[in-house]
Amino acid sequence: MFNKFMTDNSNEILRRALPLLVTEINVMQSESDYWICYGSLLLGLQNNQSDIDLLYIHHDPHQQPSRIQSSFEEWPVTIYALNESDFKADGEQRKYGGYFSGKVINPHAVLGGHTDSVQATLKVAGGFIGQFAASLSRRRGREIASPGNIAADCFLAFLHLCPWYRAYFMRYFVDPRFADIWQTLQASVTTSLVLAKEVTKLSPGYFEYQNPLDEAQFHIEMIKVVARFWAVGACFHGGRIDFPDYYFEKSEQFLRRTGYINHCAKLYDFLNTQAK
Amino acid sequence: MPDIVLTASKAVGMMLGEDIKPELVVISSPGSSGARVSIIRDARTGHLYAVKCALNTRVSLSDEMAKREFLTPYLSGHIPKVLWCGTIDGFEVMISECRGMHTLHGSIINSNSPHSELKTVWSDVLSSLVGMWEQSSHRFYSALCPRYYPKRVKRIQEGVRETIINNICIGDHLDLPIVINGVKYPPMGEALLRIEKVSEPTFGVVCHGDPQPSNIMVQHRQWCLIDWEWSGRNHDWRMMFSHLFGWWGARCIALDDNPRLEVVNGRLSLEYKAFLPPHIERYQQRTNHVFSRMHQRSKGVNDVEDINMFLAALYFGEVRFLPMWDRDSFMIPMLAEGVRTACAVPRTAVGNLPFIFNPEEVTTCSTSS
Repeated sequence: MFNKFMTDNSNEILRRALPLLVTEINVMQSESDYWICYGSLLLGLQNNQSDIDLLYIHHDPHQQPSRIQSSFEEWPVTIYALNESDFKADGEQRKYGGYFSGKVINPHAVLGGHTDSVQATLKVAGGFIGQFAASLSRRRGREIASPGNIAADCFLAFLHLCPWYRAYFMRYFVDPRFADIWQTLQASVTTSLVLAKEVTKLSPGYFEYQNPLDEAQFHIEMIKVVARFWAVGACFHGGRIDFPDYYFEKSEQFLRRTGYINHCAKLYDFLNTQAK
Repeated sequence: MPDIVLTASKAVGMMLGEDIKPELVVISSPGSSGARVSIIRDARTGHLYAVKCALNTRVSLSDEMAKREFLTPYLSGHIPKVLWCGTIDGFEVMISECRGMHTLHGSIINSNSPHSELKTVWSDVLSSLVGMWEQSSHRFYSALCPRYYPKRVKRIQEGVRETIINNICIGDHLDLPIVINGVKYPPMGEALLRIEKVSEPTFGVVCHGDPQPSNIMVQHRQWCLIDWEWSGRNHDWRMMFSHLFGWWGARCIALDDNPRLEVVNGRLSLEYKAFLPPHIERYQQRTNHVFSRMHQRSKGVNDVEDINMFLAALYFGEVRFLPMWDRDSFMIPMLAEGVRTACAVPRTAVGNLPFIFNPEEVTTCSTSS
């Protein structure tokens, strides 16, 4: 769905890069492996200092999730390689605190794989965030939602789990194409929740949440997700016990440096309005 | 106190506890990335810490920390531990073990230790690097090289074009034939095009990415490698060799008098007298066994020619950084040696050291000294 935002340059970079980058991944490879591109390259926002951010979903059952740093024509490349079972588990069971599944709530593009790979990816996202979105919606007294409500509920839920995600979402919010990006996110996120059976369609444009958590369950699930997310992040970043603080500061520094710190209230207002 | 020193002190304080009394021991010149390293002493214990502060560098310090992991399997004991990494006052900060206050470069230039010891250290560095290359060889993909050569060359070419010496903009005179110390050479523009053309190596290696004496800390015959931002797989061992060989000509030559550059009779004339002190030549000569071992394995027919193109790129590449290090007087020699190394034939002529690599000449010198 988000392929339309990719520039010719982004497409060309990936066309050249992926066949080479696959050699950096030390797993038993198969025809049904696929790439997921996310981050600045996906929206054509890359500059000389941008990373190329990729997930590699493979089918080698013997490999733990891994983080691989490489470079392509001097662009830094970060690849998270994990098998499809682990990827799905990060959706349904939130096994890694949404470290991987959370990435595909955001704009992303699936490259390679089989015909089901796109839907499988969307389902993972929906499985992770669906219940949290449903619970926040119920707090507002709403169990029926439009695509706009669903998208807002999901991103508000994500911000609830990780407030520093606002720096990430801000990149879309300030983009001149945000209206179009938001339209596409509505479609993508709604499809995610439908595939994960977190919502069912009642009528055109209206969906019903299926599995909201009660307050006690929400609290426990949230704690589990947060603990797992930061543990995984710290492991992938050299076992640094200060990784969370590093991440917090880096996010806030981005907002301060760009002046977007002054837009945060508007961002929340937008999402809260969409959630009404 | 400069911001960086305050930030470095704060970082050590955050790591160790607020009642630390930090003392600045030394602060480095900015590297090509702009990052700076302060060595901070904890006055209570005397322990030293190397604190690197970076602002909007191409490779974040967090990523640099990750790249360190490429080297640790091969260079165990020679890579300092990272003790802390974070963000303070907008700077990214990394604190590492401080295993020596002097770089190998500084120690050699200042003769801080007997040269017999320093040469042993240098030989050990070279052996360890070759060992790492031999163990890590893999199929080479140039686009995955951390120092992707086409982009590096473009930056170098741009740097030369923008260089101004004595109000002469080099970019305005790229087509003029060149005379270097009375000898004619093709135009600078031609030299800059020649350095683009290198063949691919027969295999890639894991490497530090910038292996040279100012990235090596020494203390009591022990050494360690610092600044890992370019570390990774898919390095070209010939490019890495050019750093090991070319460092001496690029950073250790002495000038006899002020170099001169002028446009005269439709030619760009460069005049300078430089030499590499004999006791430093011997460090360069020790690189030859690196070439022998790797070339025997690689059997690349263009290895020597490609190494000289990398060397020419290295010399040209120095030019844009020299003013930052207050070494403006070396701009003319570096431009000249870039041209000579890219264009000089035959390679087998003697008298090309310390700039042009000719394995026979290096061997002859090392056996006669």
